[in-house]
Amino acid sequence: MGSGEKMIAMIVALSRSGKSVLHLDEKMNYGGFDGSFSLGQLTTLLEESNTELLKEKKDLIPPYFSNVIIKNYEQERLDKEEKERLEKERLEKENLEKKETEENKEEIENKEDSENKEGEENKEEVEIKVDEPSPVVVKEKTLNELGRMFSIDIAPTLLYSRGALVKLLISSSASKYLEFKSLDQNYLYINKKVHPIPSTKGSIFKDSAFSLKEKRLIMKFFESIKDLKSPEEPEKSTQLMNELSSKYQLFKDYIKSFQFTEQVESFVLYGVSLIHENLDSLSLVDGIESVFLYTSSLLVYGQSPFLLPYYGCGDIPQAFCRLCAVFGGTYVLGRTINTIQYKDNDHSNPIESVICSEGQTIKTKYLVSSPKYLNNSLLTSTTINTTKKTYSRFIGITNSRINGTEEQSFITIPPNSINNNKNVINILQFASICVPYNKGKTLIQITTLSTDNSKAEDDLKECVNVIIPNQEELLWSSFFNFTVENVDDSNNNLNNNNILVCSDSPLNATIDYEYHISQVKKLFEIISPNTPFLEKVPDSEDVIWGVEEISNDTPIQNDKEISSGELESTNEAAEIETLSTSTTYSTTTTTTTTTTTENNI
Amino acid sequence: MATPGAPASNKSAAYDYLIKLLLIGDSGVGKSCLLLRFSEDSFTPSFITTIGIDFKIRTIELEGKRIKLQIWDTAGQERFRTITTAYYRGAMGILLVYDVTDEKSFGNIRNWIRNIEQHATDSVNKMLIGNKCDMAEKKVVDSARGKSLADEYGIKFLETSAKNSINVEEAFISLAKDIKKRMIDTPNEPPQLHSKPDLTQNPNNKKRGCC
Repeated sequence: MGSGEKMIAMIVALSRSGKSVLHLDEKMNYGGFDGSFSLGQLTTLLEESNTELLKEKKDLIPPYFSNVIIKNYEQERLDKEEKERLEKERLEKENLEKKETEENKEEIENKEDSENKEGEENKEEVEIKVDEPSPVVVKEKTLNELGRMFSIDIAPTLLYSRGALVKLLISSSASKYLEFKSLDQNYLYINKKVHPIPSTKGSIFKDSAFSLKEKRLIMKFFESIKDLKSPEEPEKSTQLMNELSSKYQLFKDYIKSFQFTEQVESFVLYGVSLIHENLDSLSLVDGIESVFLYTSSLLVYGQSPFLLPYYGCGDIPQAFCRLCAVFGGTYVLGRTINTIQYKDNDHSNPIESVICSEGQTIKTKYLVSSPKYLNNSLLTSTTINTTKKTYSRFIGITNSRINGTEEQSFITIPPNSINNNKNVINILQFASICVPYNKGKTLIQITTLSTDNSKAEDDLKECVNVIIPNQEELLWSSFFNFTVENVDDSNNNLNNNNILVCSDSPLNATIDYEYHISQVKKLFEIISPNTPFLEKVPDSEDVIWGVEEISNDTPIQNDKEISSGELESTNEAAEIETLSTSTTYSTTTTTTTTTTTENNI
Repeated sequence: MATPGAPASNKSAAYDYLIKLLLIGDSGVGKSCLLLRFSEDSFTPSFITTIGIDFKIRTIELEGKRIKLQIWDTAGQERFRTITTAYYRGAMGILLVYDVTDEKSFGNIRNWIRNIEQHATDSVNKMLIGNKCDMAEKKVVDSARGKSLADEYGIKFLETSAKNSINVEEAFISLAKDIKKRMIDTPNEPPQLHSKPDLTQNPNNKKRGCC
């Protein structure tokens, strides 16, 4: 239960390895916090979170939010204009009446003169009235009309071109369901300016922000990283790494050894290494890995080392869901489970079945779930240790880009840069990604970690003022907080109940899925040992004209544990109503997943 | 009639345009059968839900242009109305399929159209298909009702039989023609192209970055 990206990757791996999977979801949308939403859907979601009813309810199913502030500037402006127009009309009418009365008086006093005057004034009135409707005709589409074509991520994430998720998407063939675009440029906010981060040797030397001495230091640093991760001489690299590890434990200490200027240190720590949370305790190995990932991803698909799904990150879980479905996984949204039944009714025994919210019983060997669902009394014999992280977010739609930036940009604001910001602030700007058909509109996504329950507006208001100085450009905006729960998966073993808890946190310190993927692989190993993790699917185009039958396309049918008879029994439940009355399914793995959104159908 | 002369498993077979089509409709109306009939000229009467069929390709020639049709199946996700929104991305044409022997599948067409309006682009070409027209004695949805529903939405309508290979070619090719007319022949609405990296191709390893 719990349908974040990580969860779904786990399920699809199980499905791919031949397990029969039923994937349930309490809400009607895929993805949880990893989902992408249209403007209308997002507004509804945010507004729902603001209602008192939800505020009181505990253990909400993601996505849900707190401290929500929504402003539709465009609507306000339109309303204001409409009000002004009506007011103007009213005044004109009054004036006219007034004039008429005055004129009537004048008429009585001076009949002859007034006739000419009135004629002139009437002429003017007519002219104004003709002019008025024309701006309405050329009016641009409003956000409400365009909103459907937005695809807004709750927790936007970047993918390193050479990162684990991109590798997994390629190796599992899930990438065929996605379109990608690389970012145009990365920026670092230094000296109160948005400064492009150079991506080549040449551009570092051309960069006027650094002195010659600083440039040499930067090159020295990159050379050392290169030596530490040399693919040609792995032994030498390992030896160097070992030597270095004995000298420095923390990445921070290693950086200090270069005696960088403050500016260069900021460039290395925040512009190139993207592990920003708990930077002070970041280990040497992780820090170097992070820099290496960055440099090796540069110039792979574009100037920036990052890729993004063209229609938002929410398409990634969906791509995995589709892959899972192609391999026989069944998805039912709007369902959750109410009860877990154990063998011989003993809570220390393995799970035998679950009872769904609609009353039907589903037999299962395993249950994979996000912590949210098991927090209530469902799970009696295990306690789940989770750590919570709260993020402060801003989403804005504007008519223009941030000054001095490319269309698709990533901007990092180091701590203590704007209004003494405690944590690094990440800004993503999209002028075509996530806004595919809305030319001229720009989506601005700002994220920072919230400390001590700080509110999103307090954390980010100043930052918004700095990057969007002309608030007139803002059409729609929202500040909100959301909290994710992390399970310490490294200690997670299958308990006696055969229940596996998998956290659904979408964001982590590396702003990519590196860590998540390794966790998912570990969890997968627990249920499905010695099985390849997400094998490549034969290319449809390769087999399409083949001599063999469809089975070529459907390798799963050969090694499926489930008989076609059972499959057909699932088929009969073509309608959700019939599901509740249909007989027990036999499934090897049951996964209940939950998301919170408005339904589609 | 279906696929003779098609290039054998040649992935790089030359084509001028790629058109993405979707099949949508209730479970069991014969979406996959239509797809298999059109792409491979085969038919399986047994009812198994769509496992393993992702999309199929067939390249056709229209007015001297080679058009590669990439036709996507729902992978069974229509059964519980859990088709991902990502399924609709970039679709240029949609075949809405109902079963002429199943009243409910016809009634649900309106729901599917609502779904399309929500998730697909406004300009997507749609076509209404009444499948299984070979089963005349079991037919419950009149041709006239199909026609009038299609007219209501201003879309084309055909009754087909994947089993007897009736109108299957016509349906796909007619939709492809309309899309070609809209996207390729009309210069003021060019295909929405954006440079996107193909992850499966070897990325250009030009000059390495900083180090």
